[in-house]
Amino acid sequence: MSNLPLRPPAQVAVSWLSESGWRRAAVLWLLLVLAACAHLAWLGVVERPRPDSDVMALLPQDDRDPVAEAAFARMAASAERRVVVMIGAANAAAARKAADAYLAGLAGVAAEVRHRVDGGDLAAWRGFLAPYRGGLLSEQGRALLALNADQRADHALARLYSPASGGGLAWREDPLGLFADWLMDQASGQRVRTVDGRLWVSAEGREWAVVLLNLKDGAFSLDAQQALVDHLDAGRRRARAAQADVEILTAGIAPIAAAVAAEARNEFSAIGIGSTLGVILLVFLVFRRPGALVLSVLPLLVGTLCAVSATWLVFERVHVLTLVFGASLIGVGVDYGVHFLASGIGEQPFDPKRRRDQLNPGLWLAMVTTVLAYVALALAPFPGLRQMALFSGCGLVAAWLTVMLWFPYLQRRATHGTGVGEWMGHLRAIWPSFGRGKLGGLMMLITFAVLAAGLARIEVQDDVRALQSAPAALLAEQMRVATLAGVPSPAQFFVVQGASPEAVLQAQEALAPRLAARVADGTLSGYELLARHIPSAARQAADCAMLKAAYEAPVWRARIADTTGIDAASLSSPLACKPLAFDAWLANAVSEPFRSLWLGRIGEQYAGVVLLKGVHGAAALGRLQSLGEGIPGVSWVDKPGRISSVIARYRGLMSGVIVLGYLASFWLLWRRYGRETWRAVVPTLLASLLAAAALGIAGLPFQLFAVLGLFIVLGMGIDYGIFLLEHPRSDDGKPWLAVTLSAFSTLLSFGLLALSHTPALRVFGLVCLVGVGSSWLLAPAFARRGVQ
Amino acid sequence: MLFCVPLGPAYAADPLVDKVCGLLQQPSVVSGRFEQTRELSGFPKPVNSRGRFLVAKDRGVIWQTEAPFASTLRLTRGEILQKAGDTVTMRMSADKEPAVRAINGVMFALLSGDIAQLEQRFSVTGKVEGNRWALSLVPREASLAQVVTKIELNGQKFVEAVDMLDPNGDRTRIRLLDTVAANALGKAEAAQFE
Repeated sequence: MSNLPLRPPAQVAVSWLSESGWRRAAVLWLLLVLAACAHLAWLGVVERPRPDSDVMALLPQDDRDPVAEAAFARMAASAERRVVVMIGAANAAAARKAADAYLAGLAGVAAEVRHRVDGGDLAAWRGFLAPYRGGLLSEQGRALLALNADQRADHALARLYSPASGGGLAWREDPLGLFADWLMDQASGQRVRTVDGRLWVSAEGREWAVVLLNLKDGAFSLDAQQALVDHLDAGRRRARAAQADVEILTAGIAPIAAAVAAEARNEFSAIGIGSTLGVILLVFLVFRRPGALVLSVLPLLVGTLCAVSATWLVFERVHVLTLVFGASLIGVGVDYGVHFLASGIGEQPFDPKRRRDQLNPGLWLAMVTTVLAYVALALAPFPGLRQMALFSGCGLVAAWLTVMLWFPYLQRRATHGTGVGEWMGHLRAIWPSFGRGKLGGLMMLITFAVLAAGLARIEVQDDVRALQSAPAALLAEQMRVATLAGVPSPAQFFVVQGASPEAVLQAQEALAPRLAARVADGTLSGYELLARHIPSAARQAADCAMLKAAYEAPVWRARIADTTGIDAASLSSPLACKPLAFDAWLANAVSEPFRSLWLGRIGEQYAGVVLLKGVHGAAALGRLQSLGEGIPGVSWVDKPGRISSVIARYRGLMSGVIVLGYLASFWLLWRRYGRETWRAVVPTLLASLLAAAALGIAGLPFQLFAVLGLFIVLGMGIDYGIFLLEHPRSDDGKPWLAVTLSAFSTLLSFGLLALSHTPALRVFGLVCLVGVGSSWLLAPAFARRGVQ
Repeated sequence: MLFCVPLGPAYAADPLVDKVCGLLQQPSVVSGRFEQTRELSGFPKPVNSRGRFLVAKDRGVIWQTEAPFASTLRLTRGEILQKAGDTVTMRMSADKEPAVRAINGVMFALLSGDIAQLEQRFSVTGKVEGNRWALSLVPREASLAQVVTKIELNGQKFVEAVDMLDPNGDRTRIRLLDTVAANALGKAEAAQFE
């Protein structure tokens, strides 16, 4: 039996509804919950939706430059399907052997696998391009034409007598070897080459076979991810068996997404199960009644159920992070029920309906302030935040409705106190006052010490890349492949647009020398643009005219005729100078490797991308972004940079919303508690500052998700203040018992988030852990003393 | 027998290659004179040239045309360099163009008689009569077949003749004369590789 003193209610209970009105509301709520159940059953059996795991899906649609956005979407879509595998060994024979074993392991993979280039393709490409060779000049070829006629003749004659000049056209069709230079230049800068018909890289003293996979399904289909990972593992095993010292590097969005999704799934179940078990144990320790256990879990179940249903109704896709966040909701959803049950301990006479009317104002206020904090999150145009706001807002309202509408009918018997409960409740009476007495002084000292140590060390971080959780080892492998195989960055590039393909090519030709200068100074290691493979018609005409003029030079003609006995005039006759038309080039197989650089028509414009390789660091990006200035149609795209700036904007904006949240809470509470309101607000404010300081001490960055955590602290901390203000007598242990239960269950769920591998969740978890923890510690320290 | 160490298990057991390897002398440095005849499509008569060659293991090949026109072709591990007189008219780096290594590898193997190396890239047929051998090489890979259709070579202690046929019908016949072997490059020879 409880020894807690029994008190008359603090406020006069006024029922919101008539008893039959409450009953009708309870039935209506039951119907709604059943509808949500039906919706979930339909989702689970018929639709079987998969949650998103792409972090980018959490970020806002930035739609200010449609061409740049379309370019990025196109790039992202093709990058998402690409997987590059490099199989390296000490010599070519070993690498070939390992690669063949690897390919055997890939058999049946749902992807287009490429590791060879057919020699027949090369002959066909050459045959297609050769008639246009007059207009196809490489930089080296152009430099050759800039020499004097005598030097050009030297070069042509040296080629004539060289035993190693084969491979191009017959000498008299191309005495200067310009076409061979052009063909060679097509591949220059490509680190992946064709060696013995295979895609090959020689680097770091090793020989690497390259295998390219183009996935049939996107990177974020979970089934496809698993199948892919299984195939890649099989390939790796077989290659290792065939060649012990083989080194295998894999790069692609899909393998990383698979690792991230697997981790999110594990965390989701670990955090969900961990917090549920913790909460159950806690409730059982306090109430020691299976009935109470079932009741306290019920709002949580109904809340989660309604939250999932509502979120999937409103949003077509739900993100895995929304669900992880939802797992945290468990701690909050259990609050109202626990408060209801704790207040009824030892109640005489047992009357849950009267208790509902007594608790109603406080619980309502607590729910409204918290939900307000969450709804404010939806102000940010981040789809993920909106999902989270809806998910947790719905869950809280549903949990609250369940307590208010159902508990009075469901709780059939009085709850009896336990020793643990009494001890917890009793703590309120002996809790130190902030700044008074030894313990209170110590509490103040620690609080200010932590604030002083932590707040100065806070580092703000808005880089979107810091929010991602891809395993470091996989990212390092990705970087190595990008370097070894010369894979361009899919995140930063130029978009070149123009009224016609010709205009796009001309703009690219204007940009190319500036890029070459940046290659020369080491800002980047290389670049890819279409104009290198299909020059503009204007450039082709100018080059061909220059070539014809070179063939007409009298010195040249005389020297060629003297040495070879053939009429040099015949050399220029096959040059028709008919430019290779862009459309014809695009339609031919010769353009296949470069088509990803062409975006085609977007609205009224044509557009192509210019990709960059080997760009490292913000300084390099800064030197590149203004490179296109003055060239019409050239724009710089830096999606992560842009998203990071959006994140920074919203971190600032939402910090402002928190201040608003405090003001709004103060106003809501002021209307009920008047001058006592500060007792609820100040400890919460201190707790929020402590949480921010904890980030500084832990060396974690203060970023958007830390602000989110502060929202939780605001919502919960104010709740604790409300519960204590509703029951102002410090010897009334029941509200404090409810607060303690709520705080600990919250700490269990949010505290576990601090263990997450996702940096964003870790920051969020730590803020909640310290913030909610110190709210609980500080709330009674600011409460009014005495028993009046 | 430096160059006859089998490189690939797949081709190691060919008795013909073993026999030819047994006949060939393969010192570190080989040098001599050459006479070259190129029959080029569209040319009324063959284009003849002569000069000196130098093949040094680990360094590369120097192909120095003396007549009718002074030019030098230098193939090293890292690049192909062509000079007309003293003017560099072409420089192709293996860093930029990995095919340079393949071209240089084949040229080096042809002139030095590194049959085992050639067998990696060509299927080899031929015959041996006494101390004289003759081989016919057909590229294994389509990419190499773009450059050369067929190569015939013969010799005794050294490679004496190379006959290359291009896909566009050009034919290059090379005779290697007065071949001498050495264990190391002379000072002047070494300077040519610098």
